[in-house]
Amino acid sequence: MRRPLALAVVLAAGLAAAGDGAAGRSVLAVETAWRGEDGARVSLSKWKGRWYVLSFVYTSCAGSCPLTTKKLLRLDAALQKAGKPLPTVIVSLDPAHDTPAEVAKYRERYGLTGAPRFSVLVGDDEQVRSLSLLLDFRYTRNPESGVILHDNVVYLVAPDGTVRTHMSSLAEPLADFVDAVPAPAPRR
Amino acid sequence: MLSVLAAAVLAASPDGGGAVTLPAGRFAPLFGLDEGQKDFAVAAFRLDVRPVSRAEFAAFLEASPAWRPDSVSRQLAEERYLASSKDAHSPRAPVVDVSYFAAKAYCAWRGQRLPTTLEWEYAAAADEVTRDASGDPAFVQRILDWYSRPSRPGELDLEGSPRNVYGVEALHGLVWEWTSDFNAVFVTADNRQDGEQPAGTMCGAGATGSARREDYAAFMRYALRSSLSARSTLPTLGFRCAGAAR
Repeated sequence: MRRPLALAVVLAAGLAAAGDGAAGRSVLAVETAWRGEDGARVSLSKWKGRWYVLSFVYTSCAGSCPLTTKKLLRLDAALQKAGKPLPTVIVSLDPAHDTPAEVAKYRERYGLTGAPRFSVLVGDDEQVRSLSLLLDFRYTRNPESGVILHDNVVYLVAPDGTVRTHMSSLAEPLADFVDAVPAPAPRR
Repeated sequence: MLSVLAAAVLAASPDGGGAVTLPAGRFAPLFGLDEGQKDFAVAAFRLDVRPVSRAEFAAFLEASPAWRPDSVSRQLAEERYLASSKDAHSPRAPVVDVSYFAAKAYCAWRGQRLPTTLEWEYAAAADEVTRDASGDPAFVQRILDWYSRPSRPGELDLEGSPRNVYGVEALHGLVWEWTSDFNAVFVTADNRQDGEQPAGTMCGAGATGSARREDYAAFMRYALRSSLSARSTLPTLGFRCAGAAR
């Protein structure tokens, strides 16, 4: 087989994108619509003006999602310890399956029942795809088996909706992420 | 054979809108199948016969000032968004240097959507006489011959582009095209075992293996898609719209 010249172009484009990262991307550049656990409509602009942690899971995931959730719990504890508690917003990758009952079970499994700092948002496939595209977050749902493959990324979102930093692997230590969060202004 | 030809004749009659309905079928894309899974069901859908032209996109910009190059957000399109529109192309040539977000907005403006990767690959596997020619070395080589030619933006000419068995033109040979879920995961069982993927970066129990290792042309398309961001613009990247079957 002849070796196509265009391959070099493809690879070059790949390297450029890989170095790009999610920093500076705004989760508000396209409006996305979700439902909170109380069934009320909610948009990410609800968190505008605040720092928060954003991640994606699906509650029936048996792969690394339990590890992602456990990492979010450890991050929450580390942020608290550093005196910088933040809200954590978890977006469901599987809106058809993640009904309010399933989300409640998920919360119970991880000791998150009634934990107000954590919010689980469920939208529809188009909303998830839109948000994933704003963040360069890759995911695939096999429509027949329901298996979802996805990146494991935890984002730190700044008050203006832009990504300040992110952890792209479960193995990545929490310290840099915690350091990137500004200390809250002293109360008067 | 007769039924294939009959289907081709029926499908090749666009009903005014420059789109054709592709029949439902089953298809094994290069990536995305679970281990042991043979193929996916593809529902019938409509697809534009040709990529969206520069003239068609200009009409959209006329009606949608927010998507003009001087007002679009950098979050939604890179700096060189529509940069090539100043070059002397035929207005019928495919619009390029257009971001995913702009392409999606254009299709929505027409009451349509971008095709999924599965739909696009399903349509693009067809040659002039068969629905799935992706295992035909001559067909694959024809596509690779195009991929191996350096792009000449002045030559984005649709004339002489053959219609495939569904009546769709220029899926190969002119420009790469956006799909609605281009940011799908792109890994194989092999490279996971090789440890190229750092541990813990990816969630998923099933390995997405490659179904047709001989289809190097499809591999290149998946490689290109995985390199894109939704705000990317390339002088060789355009799109066409899809919609519900009628």
